[in-house]
Amino acid sequence: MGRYILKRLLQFIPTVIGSIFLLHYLVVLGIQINGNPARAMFGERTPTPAQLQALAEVFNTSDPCLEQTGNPCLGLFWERVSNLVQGELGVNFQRIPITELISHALPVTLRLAFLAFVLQVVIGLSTGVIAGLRGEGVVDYLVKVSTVLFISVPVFVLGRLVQVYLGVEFGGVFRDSSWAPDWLTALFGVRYTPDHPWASLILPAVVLAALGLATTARLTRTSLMENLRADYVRTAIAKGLPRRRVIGVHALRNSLIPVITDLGYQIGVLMSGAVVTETIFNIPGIGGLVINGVRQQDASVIIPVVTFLVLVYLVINLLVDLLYAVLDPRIRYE
Amino acid sequence: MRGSHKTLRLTAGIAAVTLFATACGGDDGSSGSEEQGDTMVVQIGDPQHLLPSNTNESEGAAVLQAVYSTLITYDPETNEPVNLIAESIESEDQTTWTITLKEGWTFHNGEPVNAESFVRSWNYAAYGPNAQLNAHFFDRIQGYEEVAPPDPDGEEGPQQAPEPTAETLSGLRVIDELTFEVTLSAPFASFPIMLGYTAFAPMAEECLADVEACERHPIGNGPFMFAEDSEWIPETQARLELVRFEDYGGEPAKLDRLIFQVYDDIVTAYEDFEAGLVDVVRNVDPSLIEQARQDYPDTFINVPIATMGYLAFPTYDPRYADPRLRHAISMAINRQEIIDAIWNGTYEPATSVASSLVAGHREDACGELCEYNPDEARRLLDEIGGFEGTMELWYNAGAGHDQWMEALGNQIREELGIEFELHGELQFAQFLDRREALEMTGPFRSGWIMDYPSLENFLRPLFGTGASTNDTGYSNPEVDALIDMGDQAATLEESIQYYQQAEDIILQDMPMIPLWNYAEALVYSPEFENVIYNPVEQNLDWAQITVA
Repeated sequence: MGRYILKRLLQFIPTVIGSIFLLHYLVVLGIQINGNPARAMFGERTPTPAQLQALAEVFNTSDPCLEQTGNPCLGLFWERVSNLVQGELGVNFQRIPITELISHALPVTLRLAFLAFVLQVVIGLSTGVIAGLRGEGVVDYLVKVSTVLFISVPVFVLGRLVQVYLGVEFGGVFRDSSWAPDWLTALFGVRYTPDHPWASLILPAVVLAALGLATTARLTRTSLMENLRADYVRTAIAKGLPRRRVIGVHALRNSLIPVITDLGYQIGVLMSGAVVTETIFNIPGIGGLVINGVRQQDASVIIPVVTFLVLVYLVINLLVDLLYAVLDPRIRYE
Repeated sequence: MRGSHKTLRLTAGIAAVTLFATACGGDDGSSGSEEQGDTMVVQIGDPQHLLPSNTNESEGAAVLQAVYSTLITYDPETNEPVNLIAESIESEDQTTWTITLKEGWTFHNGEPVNAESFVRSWNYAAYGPNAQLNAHFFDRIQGYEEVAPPDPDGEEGPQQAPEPTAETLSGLRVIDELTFEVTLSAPFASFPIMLGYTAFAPMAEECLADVEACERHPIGNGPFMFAEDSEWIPETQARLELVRFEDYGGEPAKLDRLIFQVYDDIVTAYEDFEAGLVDVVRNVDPSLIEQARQDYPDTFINVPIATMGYLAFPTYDPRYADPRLRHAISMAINRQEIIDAIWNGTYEPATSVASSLVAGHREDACGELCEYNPDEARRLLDEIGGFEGTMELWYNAGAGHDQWMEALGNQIREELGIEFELHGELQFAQFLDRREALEMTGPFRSGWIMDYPSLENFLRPLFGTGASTNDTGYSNPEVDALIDMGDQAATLEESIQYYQQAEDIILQDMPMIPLWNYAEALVYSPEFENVIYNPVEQNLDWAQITVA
């Protein structure tokens, strides 16, 4: 087990360097093809060359290789990697240290992702199990219909609906009342407020979790139904084992393998894919950071933040693989 | 149940790690929510910068106008300059200006606002290596070439721009505590008008000693100051809390607190406004304009802003060299139809090259040439023997220009039978580069955001021979001479007459077709009174606002 983990950790290194290079090359190509972001800052007004040069140096886009389309700018790449290794993330276009930007955005995104993940696991798994056990029952139909609904309604529509009806309309009842405590008004607020870092994230988390929750429920349902018809379950029942044990240990445990794979992948999505939810609810998280970085072609933001997300994906994938062994003793990593 | 327990423990472990990480970084819930006194909450987008010499966009400017005061301000009724910090701004020859300050102005940290503070700030802004986005405002002051030298062989040439030979502008001289002298490199009668722009605001010594800290927590001299624990951190949807500055040199603010809440999304801001959590939405989303107008008829303001949209021509391309072709296209465009279809009728069709906000703007400057008249357009096109080939229409990508450019192309095709091809593939920087290199192969989108409310600001930079934003290759010595005469005129009135003559010639030549004057929609809560919109500053006068 230990050797396996070590091997996997060592594999991280080329993966991370490879993804940094890809990111670097995409940004470099973007600047080579689309023009220097320093120029766009001046708008219609033509800057003097001295002004342009000075701003390009601030933006770290003054390297002459950025004018040769296709040149991978290896010198710049090396500089970036060695800075990253030394933990020097540099500053963005507004000269704000990247570490500071991340330290503000990350806790918020982690809270949001955590809440959404809990919702997804608790509601997704339990409805999935109930639906799977009572195939073709009321709960099953309910799960099927609601999951199709959640999957087909785009996040930005669901987000706005929740914001208008639960935030503006329903929340207004609490804001206008004298009895409602602060946290309740924050819970049904229109946007995230730092004064209530958890309560005001619950509605956004529901919106964010909706899609993944539907997938989790369906996956659990199907997987469980399939396993309930498997030979080993029939054997277990024939042996006279109590129903709870047959379902809880034999069937469910095996059914969870595809679900865990999906949930692991979902954590990454929750962290990076929350851009729309974050925008709608005015949440200052990682998603907004990346999008603004991409808009401004600010490599100093894009590369460290996305690299961090790559690391999150890698670690979660490793955890998922280790969980397989826990769920199914037949899987061994030696 | 052995396995399940393990699973549970592991999940709990992940949860604990997540919680721990959260606890480490997150103490951002400390700003006090108990709001004392009269408070107004205002929506803004995330500013780029909060330093007068480096703020060249509307969101930062909104905050700076509350935090900084300038030498002059503009009357919201007449748009004329009115002295604020300045006691007087005088010149005999329009070249050497003597500026005298009023007594008793201080910065928020107690430093005096004196002649030295202005000279210090302007020198900082103009100095090339400081890379300030508003440096160009100072290019008329003597010595600008020494602090920000031009590249000897142009941008593309192999030589680098030389190092500056001076650190300060030779045209700035402190005379005494409250007087300083500004020498321009050429006469310019409209110079005082420029001075109300935030780029010319004074910056405290403490501010320039640590510019980055001063952007986080600005130290200004305006009616509002940053609350002690308030800090701007970009990209955090910050809440900027400003309190009234009790020692303000002008008429003190009426509100106790002014809060700027940053929103990434203006639709969310409007939802917050409906929920009563925000009092002013400065920029109502186009999709909500009709709703806002109906729901808040008394507090909805549709304001023309000092930004003009043009269709520019590569006059260096022989196919577009004849002004009659450009007139024909101008008359084939139904401006109002596009405005109604795309901007809910909020923009104003252009009748001049300049925005309606500047002194000297005339409603009939362009006359028939800017009016929809397809018959005359076709006649003109026939007169010059038609147009060969396909017309390429260029604009920059991803900035919302696709729709109206296509509408424009369709109108040209319908009225004049000219086939068109849309080219929206260039990003802004590359689009600008190609314009500047005079390599455009068809009419292209152009725009101009006014710097200071003078007609001159819409003429020289855009139409002067070889001027900084003259991307059409247009050159007319008569126009250059008239603008120069306007600059040198003894009075503002006289200079406006020369500028108007120059504008008449420009419209006859029409290197750019004026399309429309942009507008924005603002809505505020009926709980407030004395909400006055200043069209030149493009902001509410924060200090005047009171609670009803």
